Amino acid sequence: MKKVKFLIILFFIFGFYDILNAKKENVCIECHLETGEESLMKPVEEWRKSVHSENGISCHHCHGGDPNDEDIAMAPEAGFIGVPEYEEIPEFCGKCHIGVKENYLKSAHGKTLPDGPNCVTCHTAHNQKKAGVYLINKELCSQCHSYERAEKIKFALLSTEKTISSLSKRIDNLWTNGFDAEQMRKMLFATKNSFRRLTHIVEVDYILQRTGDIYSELGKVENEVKEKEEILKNRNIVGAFIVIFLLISALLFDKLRKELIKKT
Amino acid sequence: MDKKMTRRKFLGKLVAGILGGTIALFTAPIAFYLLPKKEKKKLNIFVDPKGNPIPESSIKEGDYELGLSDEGPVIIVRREGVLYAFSAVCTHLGCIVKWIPSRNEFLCPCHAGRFDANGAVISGPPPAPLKRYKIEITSEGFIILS
Amino acid sequence: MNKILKAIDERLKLSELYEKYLSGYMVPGNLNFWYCLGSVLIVIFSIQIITGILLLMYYIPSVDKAFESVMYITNKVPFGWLIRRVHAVGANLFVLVLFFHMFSVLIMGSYKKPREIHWITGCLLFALVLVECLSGYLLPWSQLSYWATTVATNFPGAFPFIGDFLVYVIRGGEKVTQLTLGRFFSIHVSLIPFTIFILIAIHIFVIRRTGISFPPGTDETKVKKIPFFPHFVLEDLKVIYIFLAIMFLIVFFYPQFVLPRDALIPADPLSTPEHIKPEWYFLANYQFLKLIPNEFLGIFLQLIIAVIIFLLPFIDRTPERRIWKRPVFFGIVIFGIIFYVLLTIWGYIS
Repeated sequence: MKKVKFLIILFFIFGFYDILNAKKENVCIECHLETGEESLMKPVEEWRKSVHSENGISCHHCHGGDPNDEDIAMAPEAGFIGVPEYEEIPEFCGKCHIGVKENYLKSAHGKTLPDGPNCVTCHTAHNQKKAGVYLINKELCSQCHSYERAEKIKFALLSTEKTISSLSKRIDNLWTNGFDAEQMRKMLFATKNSFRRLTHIVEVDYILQRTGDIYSELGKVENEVKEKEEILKNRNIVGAFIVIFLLISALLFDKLRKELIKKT
Repeated sequence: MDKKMTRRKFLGKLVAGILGGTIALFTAPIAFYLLPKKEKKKLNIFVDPKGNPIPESSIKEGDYELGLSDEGPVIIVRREGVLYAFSAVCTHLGCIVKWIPSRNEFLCPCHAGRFDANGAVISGPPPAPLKRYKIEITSEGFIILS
Repeated sequence: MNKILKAIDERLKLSELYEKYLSGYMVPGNLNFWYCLGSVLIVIFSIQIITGILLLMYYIPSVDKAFESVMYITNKVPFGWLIRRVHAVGANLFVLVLFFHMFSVLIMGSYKKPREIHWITGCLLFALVLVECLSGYLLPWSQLSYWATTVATNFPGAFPFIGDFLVYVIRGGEKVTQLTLGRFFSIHVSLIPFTIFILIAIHIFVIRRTGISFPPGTDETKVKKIPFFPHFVLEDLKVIYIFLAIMFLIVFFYPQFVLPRDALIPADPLSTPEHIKPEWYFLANYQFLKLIPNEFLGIFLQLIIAVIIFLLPFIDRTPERRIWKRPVFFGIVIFGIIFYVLLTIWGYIS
């Protein structure tokens, strides 16, 4: 009887921990880690730090296969791709990043294929971080060419990038204050998307030419954000008045009470 | 002594004012909360009770269709190919009227009020004719009432 | 106007009631700040009821519509954001002031004879308010609601034999679903508020019967008495307004305290947010359970502590109320509070 009790208790303890640690692992990750082989474990560890992992994009989303069934996990019938050839990488990533792929193929980078730089040259194979202008840096670019032209492009992109990230922060602030941010987020996301596409053209003149359009789009988002921020500001002013009113009232209650006691 | 009295009175009034102000402060938002916002003017589309628009084509010759407009229940009849829309609410006590095709008239089931095909009262207790709507058909075939 | 009032009074003798229960009701003149917390709690309860009724007008208790309807309230209904935040902040303040209220009663020994019923009804009220908070937590059907409820409703599972069944009954099924939302909604808006209301009525009734306790260590025959109205009511009002100021400070400037980011994302049963934790007032219990290796033992120990607190007037029967003459009791209380606060902080940072 005691054993049964113990087992039940044990069951619930583990049941509880399970829920707390409910990170759905799939068979790809399980096997890769079980091998203990550096080259097979590394992709998993790197992916875990990536922006893909953060957003719930897992192995099979890019590599295909079935993450729930060990037997056909790596079967070509289940769409398993494995490691793509170097020249196939743009196609591989372009499954999802369609616009970026399109512009990349048109760019000076894309035209040097199959030997030229492709997605993983700058973004790494598994440890992709949230993209940003920081990716254009001396270390990366001077692997192949001088940094001068790249720097010009970076300069052209920088202010747009700053505007986007500051807008994103402002929208987030409104959201944590209870505003419905979905519409603003979608608008910003769409603009950000066309901006990201643009960056892959790697041609200063074209980027500068298109930046105007992006700015007018961002202006629309900003107007929306400003409107909400104005509401928030007004709320806070009213709130401050209410708090002050309540505190002064408390003081007056105290005064009247003392006055009454003095009398009696 | 006199000074003290007035001071006390003044404080008492101030406190009463504060309490009144607090009540006003608290009830104002509640009043606004309870008043629904007026929605922007939209097209008054003839819809079924679930809110789906009823296409004009679904009303056959000699047939009728009951549905809702922004103002309430509406009955639409097709006679000789033309659609006629009336408020389906009997002007007597608010029951919903029916179309009787055999007699070409509307009948209210509650107190046997009768209206002719133009909505005018034939007999029974209704004090006024049924309200008539103008009809427009959109490109999707939906019915707009006005 | 005056004539009408006089006529009514002549018939109903309202001024008699006023004299008997308000202006003629004498209370000790040396009552301190701690004695006002009961009134603060009544005000908070009223605020919760009023805002609750208002929210109920737009809220839809369905897993598909709940979050949407809450978003509708906060973004579309005029002042909906205010009503909702006041309700959320009010709930937190309710628990906080209850802690203070019970603390003062413990330190001043006011639970002792003849005030055992006060303590018992008070403890029941405390438990009910916690259940009310917990059930209300699920209603917006946000990530926070869903996962906090999933974790919280898992704990009774540690009971031997009936644990499984308990969880099933509380959730209305194996998992947190529409069935859970339905029963939580029902008890949150009807059963518990009504019970709280009745218990408050009993609580106040017994207080009026026994009178307010004198602050310990004062000579009851020498203390000057003051009328409840207007003298003590003004003191009450002062403390009430201070707490209202705190409430609106949070409502306007720190809504994130009560509505963190996970409360703004609709529930997703397939993705657990990181660092999901219970509300601050359950953190100590939560940390306690994490520290005790056997979960049932953890719950059992907490239950024993709860029963001891509940039956305190019958366990501690000495008439001495002055805290400095009760060093052992004082030591236990201080140790208990420090332990509790430390566990809460630990639970918060871990």
